[in-house]
Amino acid sequence: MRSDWGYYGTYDESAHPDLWDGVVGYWAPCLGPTGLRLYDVSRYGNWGTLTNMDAASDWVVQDGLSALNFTASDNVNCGDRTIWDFTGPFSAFVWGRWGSQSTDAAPIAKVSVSNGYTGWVLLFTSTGNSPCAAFWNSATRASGSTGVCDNTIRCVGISWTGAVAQVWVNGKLDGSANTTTSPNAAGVDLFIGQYGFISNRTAQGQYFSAAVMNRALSANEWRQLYEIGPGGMLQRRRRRRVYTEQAGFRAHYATQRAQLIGGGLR
Amino acid sequence: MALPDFAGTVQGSAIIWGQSGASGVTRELSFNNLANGSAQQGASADLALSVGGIQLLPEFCWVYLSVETGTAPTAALTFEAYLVSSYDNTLWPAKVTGSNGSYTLGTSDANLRQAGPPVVSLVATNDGNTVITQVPSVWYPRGRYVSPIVDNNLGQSLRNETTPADNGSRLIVVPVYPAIVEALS
Repeated sequence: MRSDWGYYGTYDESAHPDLWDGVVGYWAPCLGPTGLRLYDVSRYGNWGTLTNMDAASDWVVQDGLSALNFTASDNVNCGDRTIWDFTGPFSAFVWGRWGSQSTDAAPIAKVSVSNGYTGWVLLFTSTGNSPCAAFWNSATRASGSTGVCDNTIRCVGISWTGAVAQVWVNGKLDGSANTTTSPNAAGVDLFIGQYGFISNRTAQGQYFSAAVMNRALSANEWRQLYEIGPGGMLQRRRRRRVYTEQAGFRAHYATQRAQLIGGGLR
Repeated sequence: MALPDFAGTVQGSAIIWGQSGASGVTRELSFNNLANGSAQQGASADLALSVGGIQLLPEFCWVYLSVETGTAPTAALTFEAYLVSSYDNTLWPAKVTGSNGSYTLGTSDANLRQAGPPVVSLVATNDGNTVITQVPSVWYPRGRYVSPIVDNNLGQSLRNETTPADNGSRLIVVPVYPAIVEALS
């Protein structure tokens, strides 16, 4: 689904308002280029800064959609917000197109490397056409089984229900691990395209959209998210005028405007 | 046989922000020589259309942004326009005043972030002393009154016209009103 900067909808103005429940950050390169900022179109104003990137060459069109192209060391730093330091269920997803990766390259992460890898990460687990995984606190890893880095557009995401960590690929559950331990991501920045501040762990590819939610998406919602496509959540709802005829009223009985309340002057 | 009346939309009068005295400008917003990394806010405007004593509000607005460059900016850098709403022309978000003047962005753009995402993000071409225009956006007002903020991220100041009123930068909001059209019989 295509949306652009001139016309899109979020939350109750979206054609898919239910998916906007709990969104605490939504970044949408698919809406079109915005220089060296990547705006958060959610209500939270978590603007990201393009780092080691070029406004002229890193905004690209891929498969008909506007995208941000990440190469080595590129990242978008969205800063540190406590709304992403989850002690309860959460989800994060990225729509992108990735080729062969290096180990532990991360499309989205809020993780402290210097503090024992505390935090949460959506990452690619190995070199080449890697599967992805949800990972946090050096202990929990829910690994997927499907290679996703094959230069096709993918929707990859992670969820934590409070009891189970999950990794989702194209609307399907691809791996899970039981854990009741919440990710402790306090005090570190959220990065799109890179594993924290580790510059050689950029998940290189084209990014269409990314989001973080403070709830675990259901299986149906993951499927819906995939079905509506990279910019689908931004599709604006149609505004409809609805006209109904009052029951028991026969329009042709009113032969003059003056017979109608507020019927005009003629 | 009489044709039925029908519902539609009609284009209202354009609200044109720009330099005081410049052609067509109806609200003041001082673009002239606006420095890189600086922002400016404009005088507020009333979106209501008085129809038989009733203040009719627009369903939506079209928003056009043009800026006149001075030194040619690096292509793909941007210039943003934000619109904020007020129901009473007094309570404004994002520390907007409703009057023309410089706008304080705040540390890490903290003030500006209260305005939400921009309505138009103009992507520059490498043209000096040229009026460049971004494709218009559709904007849905959240109140009767509207006030703009513009934020220069072009890496260069806007053009410093010898006569500021010659400045070609404009932010144009065109309200689109709902209407019941009475068909002629």
